Amino acid sequence: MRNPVGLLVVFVAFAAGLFYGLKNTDTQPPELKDATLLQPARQLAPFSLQSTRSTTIDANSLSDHWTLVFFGFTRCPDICPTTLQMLSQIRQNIADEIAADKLPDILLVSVDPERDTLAALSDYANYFGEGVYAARADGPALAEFTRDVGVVYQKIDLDDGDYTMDHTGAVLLIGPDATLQAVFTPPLRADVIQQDLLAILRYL
Amino acid sequence: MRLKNILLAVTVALSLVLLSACKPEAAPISIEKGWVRAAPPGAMASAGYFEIVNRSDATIEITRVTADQFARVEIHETSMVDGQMKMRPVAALRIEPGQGLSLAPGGKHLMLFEPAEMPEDSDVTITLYDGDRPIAELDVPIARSNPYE
Repeated sequence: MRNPVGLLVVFVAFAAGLFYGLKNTDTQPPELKDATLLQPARQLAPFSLQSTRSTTIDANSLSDHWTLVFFGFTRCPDICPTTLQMLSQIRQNIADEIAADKLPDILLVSVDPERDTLAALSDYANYFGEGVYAARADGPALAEFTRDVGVVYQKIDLDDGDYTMDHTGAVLLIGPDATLQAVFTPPLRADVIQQDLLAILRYL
Repeated sequence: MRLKNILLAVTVALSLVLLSACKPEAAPISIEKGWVRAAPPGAMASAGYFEIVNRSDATIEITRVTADQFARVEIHETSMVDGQMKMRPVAALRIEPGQGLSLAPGGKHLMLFEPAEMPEDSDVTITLYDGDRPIAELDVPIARSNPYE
């Protein structure tokens, strides 16, 4: 205790070093551009969807892997295939950069269950390659699931008697144990999503 | 200094005018980078894209579109409003003289209904009309993603 000022200097230097060191490990949340990390991750409420892969998916079937969820419908010829193609490409691009058990599946959840049969969804999803599948649920079950994850959709009647669906354009990242881990908000830019996704998967 | 800048600007502008006057006359409408998205088997619809430039003195209006292999074509626009994806029919595409318009994923596009068949790497012939008057015909490839990127 001969030199309290000197001790203080040493202590501050040590604390600063510790802080700096911590900042430079992967324990700090990554800086993200288009994604929002949920901390803590949020447990999904119980749900049940008909899947093109197996009969149903629920929290259990999403519990052992990562999943990117996008909402759309098969009669959307522009942005839905664009997004699925993009997500499928990102999945391919990052395959060599992360552990195999972290490579996310891509799940299209139909917001048009009236027209999107399981057979139609199956053809549609398979077309976008490995790791892509789809799911549907009738009105109430779909409403429940989408409400839980903060997605909205609305049927819009058109003049010619046809209809279209408005829907939330976000992509969700579901982690093991069926937890909502992150949300990617539009505009969905391939390079930014890939960068953010890699950063999140390396961090979590 | 300021006067010098103005003089320079005027000189550049004049030379541009003279240069463009010397250029051989380009086609009144140019359409480039057209493609139709290959769709999964059994799909009820697909989308078509292209870039159009109006080099004529008159406004171009595209009010009707046909495509061989498809039952009907509409002009649609995808937009993102408060995080919501929306797609709506558009009555016509209007291109003022000297202006261009790009039909691209996530924006204005052709919505092509009920394909007869659409093998990848084949072509689709698209005809653009102003009313009943055909104003352009283009053969575009069917591709999974933008073949020009």
